[in-house]
Amino acid sequence: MLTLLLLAIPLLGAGLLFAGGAKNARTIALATGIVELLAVLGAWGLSAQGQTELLSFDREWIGPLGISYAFNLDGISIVMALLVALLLPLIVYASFNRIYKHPHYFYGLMMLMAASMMGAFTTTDGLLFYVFYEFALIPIYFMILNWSEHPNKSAITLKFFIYTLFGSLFMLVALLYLYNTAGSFNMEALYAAGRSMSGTEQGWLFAGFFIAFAVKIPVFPLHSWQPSTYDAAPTAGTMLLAGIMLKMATYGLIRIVVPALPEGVTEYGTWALVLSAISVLYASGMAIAQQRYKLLLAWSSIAHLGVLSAGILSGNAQGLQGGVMEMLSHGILSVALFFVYDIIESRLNHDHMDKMGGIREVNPLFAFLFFALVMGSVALPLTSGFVGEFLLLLGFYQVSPWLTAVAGLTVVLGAVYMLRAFQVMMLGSASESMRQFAPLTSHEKTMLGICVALVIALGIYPDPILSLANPTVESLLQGLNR
Amino acid sequence: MKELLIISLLGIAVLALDILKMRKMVMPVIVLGLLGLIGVSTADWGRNEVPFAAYGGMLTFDNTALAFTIIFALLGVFWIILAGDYYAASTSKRTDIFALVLFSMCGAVVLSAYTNLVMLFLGVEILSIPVYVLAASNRKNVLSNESGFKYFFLGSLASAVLLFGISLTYGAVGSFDLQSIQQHLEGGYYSPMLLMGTAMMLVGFTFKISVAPFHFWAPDVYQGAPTPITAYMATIVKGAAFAGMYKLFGSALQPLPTAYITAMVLMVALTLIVANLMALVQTNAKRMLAFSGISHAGFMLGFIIAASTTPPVYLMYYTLTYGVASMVAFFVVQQVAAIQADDDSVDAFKGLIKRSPVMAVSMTIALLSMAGIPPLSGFLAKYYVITNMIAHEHMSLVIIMILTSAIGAVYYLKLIAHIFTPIENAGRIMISDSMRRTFIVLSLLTIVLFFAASLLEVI
Repeated sequence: MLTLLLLAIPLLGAGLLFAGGAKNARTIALATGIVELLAVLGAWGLSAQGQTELLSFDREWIGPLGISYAFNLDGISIVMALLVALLLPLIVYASFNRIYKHPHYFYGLMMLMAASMMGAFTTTDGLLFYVFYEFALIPIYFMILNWSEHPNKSAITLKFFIYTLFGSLFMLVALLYLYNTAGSFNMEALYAAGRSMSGTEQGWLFAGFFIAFAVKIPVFPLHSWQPSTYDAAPTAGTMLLAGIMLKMATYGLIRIVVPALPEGVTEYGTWALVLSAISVLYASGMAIAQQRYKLLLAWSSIAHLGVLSAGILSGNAQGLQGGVMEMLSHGILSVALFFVYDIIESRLNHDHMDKMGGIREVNPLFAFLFFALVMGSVALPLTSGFVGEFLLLLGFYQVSPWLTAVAGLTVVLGAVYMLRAFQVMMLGSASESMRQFAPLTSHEKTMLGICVALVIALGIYPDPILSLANPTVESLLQGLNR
Repeated sequence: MKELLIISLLGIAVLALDILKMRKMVMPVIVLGLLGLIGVSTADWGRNEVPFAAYGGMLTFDNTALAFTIIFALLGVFWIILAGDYYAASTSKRTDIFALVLFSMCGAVVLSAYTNLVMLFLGVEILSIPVYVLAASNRKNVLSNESGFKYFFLGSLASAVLLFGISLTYGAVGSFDLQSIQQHLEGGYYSPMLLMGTAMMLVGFTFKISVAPFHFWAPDVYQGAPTPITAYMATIVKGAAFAGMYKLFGSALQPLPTAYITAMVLMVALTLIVANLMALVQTNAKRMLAFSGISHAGFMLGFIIAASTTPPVYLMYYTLTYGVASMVAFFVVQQVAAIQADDDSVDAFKGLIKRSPVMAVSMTIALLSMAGIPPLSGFLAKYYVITNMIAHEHMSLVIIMILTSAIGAVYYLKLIAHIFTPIENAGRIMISDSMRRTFIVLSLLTIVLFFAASLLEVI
């Protein structure tokens, strides 16, 4: 029943916001986010005590077709729920910086999105996963369409929507094909059906799933919607996209692809690993070439997710564990780094890095906090980024040392573009206009402080997350020779 | 039988009310009458009534027929309420039109209950003839006249082909009765004459449901006809044609020869490709919806291909969800066009979110449902087709369905983007309370039908 509560809280929040009008909208949104976080922490506590019956729910929806309203909070799902519930209040809090027109609709759509992502992360029914995965598109589409200030937003949102929809339709076909053998959309049944299939069949199904997920992650060459969409979206929308939404795809790889199509991944999935590795290289190169900070972040996100997808697809315990850890870490870092964009953009009205410089002189605290985030992003030990990427590369190494060498460049190249960005933006001497750079407000300090604290805390002591996810990782890999 | 009596008497009653100058009573009487029809159909549930059994029993009101009748009556109620605003309440034109629609709905009931090819032909004609008149009912408009003429000429040609097919089938089987035809086919053997006859019936039906290559009339007729009539044609007329087709090809003529399956698979593929590509380049909203309607007919034809294992309930679900969504879409087009000198181009939708939030949101929900985005009922409707196609191993068709769905999303989303484009000095579009409530109910229905899909399993 608690799982339903996790869905109900944001839905209720959305209802309150839509009905309540613009007054107090952001307070309601923040309260919803905090209540959701408390509920997830409660679920974690229950799971730690072994009281699992409260954490699952199963009712028939369309009986003859084997579709049910089925949810279950196992270890990985709790981590993912934590990701949503942690980032939701952070994103709302980050948006306090901005005055959005019609805030009740803006935050209402945000809550709807949180509900759909929460659903995707907790359901154990394949079709329901697809439904939540797709539904998340609608609120974010309208958030970008109505709150973007980009002149070309109509075309960009259309490209984004069609690209993702088109990709996920392949997943639908693959799911239906699995279902045709399984006779039910229950995850366990889908696993059994997938494993009973021949290698070629699994290979095709893997292709279907991977195309869908590769669009959303995104993996080269299906990434072309991403930089323009991140650029056009209002900052809160970009945070939702980069922080949570694309994790539905990597979560899908962990939850469905790896356990259901073991042969499809190992025997026929090499091309996906190669694409992920190319994605890392290409996106890092593009990130190095960017002049604008927001676009740099967009490309860097593709690079990090290439490692994530390759690590998960190596299909061993390290890869999956690293995947779970990296999803959480990347989520927090994305929100924080895009918040840095928001701080700069709100003061300078642009994000061209070569026109900045010397912020450290004016605002040393900001530079210090930003530096901590940059360190997390380049996966320095003792930051959360390190734990995740190390495990991912470790998992990947067991499958293909050569490709790992390529993907491992992400750490080196990441250091190149992140440190260069830091250097260009923060160091040097401040020009006359940069001297006007206003000090951080207490709201901004709190927000950045929380993010930095989380990044460092998870880096020093990742054990609670890892040991939470571990039993589920083991059960997903059970019966596979890894 | 009561169902048929109610709906025909209702049509006559409407005309009588006009003569008696009680025009204000027309709407309430029709709505109550149609609700009564739903009630009677529910009461008859499971009785499998065969009226006039002694005369050959040409109709059977089994659950399938009753369910289709309920769906048509429900869509009819919504149609009457929405169209009530279009035709001024004081004129006799309104009563004429409403009476014609009710007579046409008689044909829809006959088509869902017939068990005899003679009744099939009667049903098709009763359904179509009033619509020929209705399409041309905007007498002073050239396009409306064109629409009526086109529909009449091509429609009668299709009826002729259908009738020819029926007579050839009679020649081959020696009976008009569906059961006798089914018994005749028990061995699965189609004599050449029967093959010819059924092929002609297939052509006649595919014309009525407007799938490629027999779809050419639809865009012109849909665009030219007064918008409420277009809404009626796209929802109830198309649904009735499918109900009739399912009865014949989905049950009586089973097992279908492989050639027919192949032909229908090709038709679906062609329909989906042509209709979606054509819809993509339209600048007129009504015409775009017409092409989108053709593509939906292609999807629905999938149920007939898979009829050997698919119960009719899925076809009903599609009819209902598509009907609900199109009802909203066409009437929003009508309202938007009415306020700007009958401009029903896509550009007329700019800024609708400011001008009429209710219509903008309802239209968005309707279009997203047609595009098949969860959690809207249009998704499950398409989903049912696709599962059936996979179960019947038409994988290439599945791929085409998927690709064209993505194309479909493009034009639906373009219209949605227009709706949400802000414009300067937008005047508000005022709509009546009854219309606003109906739009809200239809939008909610679009969502509720998704979550309550299991309710349909009772049939």
